[in-house]
Amino acid sequence: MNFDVRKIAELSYLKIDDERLGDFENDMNSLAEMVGGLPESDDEPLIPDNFMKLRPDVNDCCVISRDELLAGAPETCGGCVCVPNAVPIQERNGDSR
Amino acid sequence: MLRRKMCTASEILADIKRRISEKESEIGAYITLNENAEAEAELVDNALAEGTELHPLAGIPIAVKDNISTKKIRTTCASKMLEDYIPSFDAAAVEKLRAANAVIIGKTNMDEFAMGSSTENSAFKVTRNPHNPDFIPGGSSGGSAAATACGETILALGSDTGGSVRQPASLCGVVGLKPTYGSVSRYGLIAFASSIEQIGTLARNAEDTVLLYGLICGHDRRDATTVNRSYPDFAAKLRNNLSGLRIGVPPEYFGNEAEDTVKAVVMRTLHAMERNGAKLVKISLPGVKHAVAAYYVIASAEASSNLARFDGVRFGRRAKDCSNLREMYVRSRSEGFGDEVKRRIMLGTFVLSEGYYDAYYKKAKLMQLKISSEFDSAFESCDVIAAPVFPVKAIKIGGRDMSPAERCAADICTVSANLAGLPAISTPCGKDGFGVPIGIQLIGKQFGEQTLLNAVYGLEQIGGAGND
Repeated sequence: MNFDVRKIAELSYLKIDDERLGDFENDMNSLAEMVGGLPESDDEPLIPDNFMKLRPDVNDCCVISRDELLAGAPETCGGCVCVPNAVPIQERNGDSR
Repeated sequence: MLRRKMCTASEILADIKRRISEKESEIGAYITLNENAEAEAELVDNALAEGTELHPLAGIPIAVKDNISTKKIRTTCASKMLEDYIPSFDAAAVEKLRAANAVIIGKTNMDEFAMGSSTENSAFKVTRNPHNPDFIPGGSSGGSAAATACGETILALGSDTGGSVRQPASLCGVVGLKPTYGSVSRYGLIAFASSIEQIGTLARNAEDTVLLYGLICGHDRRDATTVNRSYPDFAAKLRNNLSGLRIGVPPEYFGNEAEDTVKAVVMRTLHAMERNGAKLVKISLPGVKHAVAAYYVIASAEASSNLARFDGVRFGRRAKDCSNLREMYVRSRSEGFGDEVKRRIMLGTFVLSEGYYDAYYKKAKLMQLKISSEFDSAFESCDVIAAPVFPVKAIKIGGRDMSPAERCAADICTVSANLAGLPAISTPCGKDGFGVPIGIQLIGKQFGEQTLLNAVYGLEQIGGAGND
């Protein structure tokens, strides 16, 4: 099979430079071939009976403050993490420039 | 020695620091040294002077692989993505080290995000094998193994997803234990493949291994995959158990993939154990031939999911001057991750994608069940299963031009234990023609660490450990 590096990179939120695409294609085809030889098998349940014992969804064991956790964020404002716009401002205003 | 007042913790630390200053420029085991180590050692000395009873590991220098979170100590996973990341919390295993007053020396080099088996994939430096600096130390816990081997630490923590404690332990001539899945909390271990990885130990012998493993094992409610059970006093029960030990020898680990030198050294060790009372038992694990494929599908799939958190938003590298959110995600990740990490993420995305899930991921999970079942059957006739650790002689740094798929194939001896969640240990048993150690691997039953440790202890007692 021919591994579509551009498409898989896009799904992975990665970009491979054009001059490196050929190398990555060779590597990924080789890896896909390596893992592609798994035999067919009779269907069996994939979810085991012995589920993990989960604790209640209540925060009673995290002692880290919000400020400590936000200290590692590249940009914050008012206790929130700041990121670029999901939709560029020009597009929101109908300006396609 | 501490308790007999033959030396102080500060003196032990000074000795280790002197060793680091002598060797580190050649070996390159550490990414970050703990600036607070001297203060930690001094605390121990003060407590001992007051007669306070402390844990046996109090004052002992321990190195920590750089994918295990250490509060206020930079934790990079050897990646540009986390080059300046400083955790606000300790991993559960590190909490236990601190509670025991162990002295954290520093954070060791590794393959980026634990993806690799040579420690050449680090974004920062290459670590060299202390036995022959032209050769790799193995990976991905290469820094921890090299530091332990050359005296830059006494003990070390690593992580093992597909062999990353056992393989560098083998190549560096130290004892490396991958515990039973669920016996050591993964809280604070920066995730690669959550369903198969464990924090493990590196030490120079079985006695040191039991002390460290005995400290870090245990249930943790912050990691729902840890098993709520009691653990024995491994140190008190450590004994030579070679007499009557049934050692399963599966031909699947001794086939054409393993070089003759490696097979000869491992078999020589098994025969030495046999002469001292162990019994070699023929068993078969037919699923092993598909273990590498199954492992790389499952591990990569989980990696693509786990590493999605590295997007430049809350922590880690953020690309500059991005005009929109998607551009920030893509550029941060593309700039932050190395090639091997990108390959594995893409492989994982591929095997989970529409149209390929059944052909790859579902088959891999079914093969994982089959391999686990085969181990269960094999353990009806043996106590431990023997195998090489690394099927080929050591590789020179930058040498042996292997494709990524060929490098993956070298994991054949180690990945099965991860897939089945079983404990496995590597201990030195010889050297190759270049002076690089070769290890023997023993795989145990679930929670069978005592049997493994006793077997390694027994091997050391008959002089078969190979530690010079």
